[in-house]
Amino acid sequence: MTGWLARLVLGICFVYLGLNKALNPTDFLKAVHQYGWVDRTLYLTWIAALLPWLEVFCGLLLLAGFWVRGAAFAVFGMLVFFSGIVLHRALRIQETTGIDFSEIRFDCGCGNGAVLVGRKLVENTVLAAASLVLVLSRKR
Amino acid sequence: MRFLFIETCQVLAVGLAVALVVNQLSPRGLRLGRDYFQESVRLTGGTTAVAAAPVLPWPQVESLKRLPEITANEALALFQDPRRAQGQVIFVDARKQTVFQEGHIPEAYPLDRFYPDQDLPSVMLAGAAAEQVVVYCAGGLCEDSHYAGLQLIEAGLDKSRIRVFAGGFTEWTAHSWPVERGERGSGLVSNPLP
Repeated sequence: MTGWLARLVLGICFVYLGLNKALNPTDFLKAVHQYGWVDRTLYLTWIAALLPWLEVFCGLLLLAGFWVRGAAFAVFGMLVFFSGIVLHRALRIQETTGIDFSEIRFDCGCGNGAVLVGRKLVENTVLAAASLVLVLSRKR
Repeated sequence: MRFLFIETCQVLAVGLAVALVVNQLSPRGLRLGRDYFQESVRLTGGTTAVAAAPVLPWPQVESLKRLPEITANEALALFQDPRRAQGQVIFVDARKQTVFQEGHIPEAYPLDRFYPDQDLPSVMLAGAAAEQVVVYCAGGLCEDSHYAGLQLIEAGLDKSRIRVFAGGFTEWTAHSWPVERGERGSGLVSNPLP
């Protein structure tokens, strides 16, 4: 039951957020450019073009119940990595501007526009925990 | 653990292959060989100074300021300039097509810098006859007007004619100045000037 729920939540989230980015790739490209974490900006084109469809693909696998552990682990990796860079950027903003962390809001390129970063990180933590449940609990 | 690793690799390999195909087939897909943030580098003789510049965090991201900028009042003065009716002053909207349709500076030419193939020829044609080309995007942190301006220069337009209206459409509408909806020249203008 827990696994089924985790698959449903993760699958819907990744299909929805992935499609939002995939259908507006230039918005996503601009959002990831704002991070300044890639020296060669050509890589950003690849990230913006491919990552959203990869998210949709993983979401569909989770919903379909196929390659669940692999998809969940890929999703976990993406969540951890992108949460890390979102947190890093938020901390830099806090350091530069002195804005309270709970009030920092920007378009993190997560697929739903400008969001409160603190809330987004909590959401990502919940999703990462759900993906870990799938990775650890499901037997081959 | 080994099975998990293999399965994850399968997911990533098939997922990336699917992503490649879908991106190629999608009309909104990006060109994988194109660096959308490198126009300036090519224009400045191949240095990497711009690409390597650190990007400051929001809201302190500095606009690129590589092209001369004008204020809202200067943009309005150019909008009211009689030369605009003769095509000697033109406005270029560097935002994406959907937001252009929702509202733009009247008679502005659309130029989505990410998909220039459709609009660039008409903008270049108009720009070649113009003395002043004012490029704008949303304003604020938006850099698309600078990149679109650089795209025009790359396509052959004289750099000295191009000005970037830094405040962009946000500042224009904040002043309640005229806005045209739909296609360029649709005539659906709100807030006409007296």
